[in-house]
Amino acid sequence: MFSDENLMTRFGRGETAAFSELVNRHQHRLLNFIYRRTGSRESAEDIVQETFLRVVNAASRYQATAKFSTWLYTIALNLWRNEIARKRNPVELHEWDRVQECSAMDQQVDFQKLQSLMQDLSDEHRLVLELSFIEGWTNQQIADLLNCSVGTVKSRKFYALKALRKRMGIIDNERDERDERMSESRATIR
Amino acid sequence: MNEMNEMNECQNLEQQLDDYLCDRLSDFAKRRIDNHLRQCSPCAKEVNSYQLVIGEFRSLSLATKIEPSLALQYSLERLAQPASAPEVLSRNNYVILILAGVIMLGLGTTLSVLNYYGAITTSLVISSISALAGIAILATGLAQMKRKAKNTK
Repeated sequence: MFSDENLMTRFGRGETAAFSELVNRHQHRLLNFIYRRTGSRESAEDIVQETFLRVVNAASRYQATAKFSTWLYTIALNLWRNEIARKRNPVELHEWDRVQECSAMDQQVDFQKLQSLMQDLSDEHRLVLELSFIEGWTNQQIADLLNCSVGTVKSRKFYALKALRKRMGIIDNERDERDERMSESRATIR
Repeated sequence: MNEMNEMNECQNLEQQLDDYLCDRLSDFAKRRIDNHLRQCSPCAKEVNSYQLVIGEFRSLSLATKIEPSLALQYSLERLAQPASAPEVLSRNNYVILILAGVIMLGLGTTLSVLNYYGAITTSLVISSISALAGIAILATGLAQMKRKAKNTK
């Protein structure tokens, strides 16, 4: 099986079948990744389409210096951020009710549960969780996408997990107190 | 001694917790942690709490999954069609086309001239085809060069 990078190079040379394979591999995951951010199928599909259009336009200049998926998700994230900046109205929890009108009732409930679970987290923390546990990316890949160190990715991941644990009411008080004491004492030593 | 060992294992878990939760450990490393979790209840509780959170997060995320609409699939399929396919010819490619066109045109013309003066006895059809093909390739190369220059502007 060809790697994504190999397929992209082939597409750059004019093999359209290579592009179809890339679309097949990534469209579902990318669509859902963006959908979890926009809450709107229409908007998510627009972003996915625009993302692949940019891939097509950049194909002849493509150089496999980074993983294809990192590049693809960077384009999609930038488009989503641009859309937010344009609207200046990030999706709030209450908006999910409105935008999910077409979804099945069960899915709507799950969506609200997910948003409610994640409400204490910043977008960067959500991204780390999703890329790590849903998309299965390595810490290095996430660090490349977010332009930060692997250490930052790890610390954001555990911060996010602890925040979710707290929100779900599964708190290991003893451990958390000990961790807090340890980080306080580390801060004092510094 | 046992206590020291246990502390070492707790530290080992702390260092490898991320890889353990992401299922990225070797069988040996995973077995070592699993053995430790059977003996250390605080660590087991900690790991279990993270696994519960990750499980819930995953199941909610998967429950909200959507499928690409037919319209999106159609648009994505069309993106790769020749009309919107990428500019596959780089600068070097159109240079090659122009050179090939000039060579073919030169060959066709030379054959025709030599044929005319009776120096050789090739078919006029072959020399004409060669010259015409040369003109066609040259024109394609020049058109690509023009398009490339326009895009660069």
